[in-house]
Amino acid sequence: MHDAAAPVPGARLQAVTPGEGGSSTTFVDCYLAHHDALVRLAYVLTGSADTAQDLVQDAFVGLHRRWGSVDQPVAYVRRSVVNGATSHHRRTARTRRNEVPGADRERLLEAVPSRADQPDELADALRSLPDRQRAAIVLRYYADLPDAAIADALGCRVGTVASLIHRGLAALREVIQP
Amino acid sequence: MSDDEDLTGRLRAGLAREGAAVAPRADVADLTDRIATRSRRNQRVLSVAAAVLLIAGVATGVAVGRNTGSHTTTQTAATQPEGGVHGLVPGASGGADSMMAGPEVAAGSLTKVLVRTANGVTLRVYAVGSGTVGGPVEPQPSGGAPAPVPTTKPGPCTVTSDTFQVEASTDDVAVAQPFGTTLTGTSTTATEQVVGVAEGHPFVVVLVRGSGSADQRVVASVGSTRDVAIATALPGDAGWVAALALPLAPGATTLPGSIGVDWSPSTGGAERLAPLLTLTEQAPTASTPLPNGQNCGSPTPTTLPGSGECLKLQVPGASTSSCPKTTLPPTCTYVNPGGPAESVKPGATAPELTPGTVCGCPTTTSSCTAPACPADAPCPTTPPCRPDVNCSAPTPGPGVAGGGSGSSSGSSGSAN
Repeated sequence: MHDAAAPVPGARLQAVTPGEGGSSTTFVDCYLAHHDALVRLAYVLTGSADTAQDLVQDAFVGLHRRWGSVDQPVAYVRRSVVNGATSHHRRTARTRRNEVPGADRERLLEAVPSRADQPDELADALRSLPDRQRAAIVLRYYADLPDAAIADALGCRVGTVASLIHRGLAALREVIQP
Repeated sequence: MSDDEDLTGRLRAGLAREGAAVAPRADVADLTDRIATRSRRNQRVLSVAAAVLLIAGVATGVAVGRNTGSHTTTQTAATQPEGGVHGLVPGASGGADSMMAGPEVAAGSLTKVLVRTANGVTLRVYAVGSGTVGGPVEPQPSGGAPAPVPTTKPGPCTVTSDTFQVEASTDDVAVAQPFGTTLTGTSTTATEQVVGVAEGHPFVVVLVRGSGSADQRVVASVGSTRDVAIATALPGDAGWVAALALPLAPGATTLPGSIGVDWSPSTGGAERLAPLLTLTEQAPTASTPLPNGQNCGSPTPTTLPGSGECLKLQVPGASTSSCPKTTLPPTCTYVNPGGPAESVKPGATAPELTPGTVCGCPTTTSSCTAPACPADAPCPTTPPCRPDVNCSAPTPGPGVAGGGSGSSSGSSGSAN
């Protein structure tokens, strides 16, 4: 567990932009303030707690390197988490596509995140969506972000966000309401 | 409740439930380790990149250096004929650049003739095989000394006979200069050039070319300096050649006197085939075609418009038919007072000359009385110098006008 008073390398940190992390907030304060929410977001996106934890930690490492030049630290970390989740899904898809026989296949499948403990029709349908549609829906209906923030996290235009959400909902509707 | 609202409601509820299923734990220590690890990794990457760049730069430099060196070597070897040496251009022997100005020798095969050291000057003489000096080659008779082949329309500044490349080097000066010679019958030719003036270590290089037996002893002298050399036979019964060096006093810009060149059979020494070559004060260098016993006269001053007092080379008293055809270096050489010699190829624009400049454009003369470039010879014509003359402004006093590497120009006769 962490010790909030423990020194952090390179801890000459600037204040987080007011409104995001509060005034005169240090990097550690920002980390402690937003870590949990970002881990949950990453978990919803990836379905793996360990992967979510790694994604958030790596995102904050990247933020630490750019702490002095990033205007919106939380937005930066959120975008890093979304990108990391997308990369995670791509790696997972490649693993599933590989034809690995026998024990190796079983071992790899075990490594693939599974939500077997939450057999949810909606969750399965959500997992079947394309990465960007899934991320847009999660950011909208889980993180309650406005379209502008979602567009920033996804690196697209606002109009694209609406389109992604519309098509994602349509796909979910077909799956859960045939 | 509409279907959309129902779906989004279910989505919100499901996602919230899913998000609540995980128990995040902020781990500052882990984050610290990751940051430190990333920092070290970045430093390693930067260090490796810097090392790679350094090694690549050094390797590239070494490769470029080796390629440059091997390129020169390869080029020389590729063009070097069997038993010969690739044509050396002035400056090839390194050393004083200002010494290197002068007639250029066209790339061609050079055959090593002799190497000797005299008076602290190492002389290396190469025979320019079938190469040319500044122009096309005229046919050479096979075997024996080349005969003066008359041409109705000689090429500009064309050397039609044997040409030698002489490298002269001391501890202070290194220079390569072409020496053009032409023999008629059993004649003997002496050519002198003064080099090293700009470097403060002048010396006179004398190349004597003769026909017939190489059993010759050649003596050259200027002032109190004297050099004796034994002639070296040229291959193919092409006569003999001797190279001599006469160092002058350091810093000297004038000759201490006339240059004497004397040759005779080494067995006797009494027979003097040709008397001395005499240099005037205004003409430090000259090429002397000396058919046996032939008196070709001495230079006579002439004034050219706008050029001040000039020296036009003439050979009074000699019949045109009796004088040999003289081959002179291919480029026009200008020696400004106190400055290095500059060469201008035929057809090029002559540099701006200053009073006291010695200039001369070599050409192939068919007579001793009017050495001049042929009508079609595009030698420099920029005033005040004409190609066929050595010009000098009103000279403040006697001496080697301009000094430096003067090139031979025109036929200067010997007094006797």
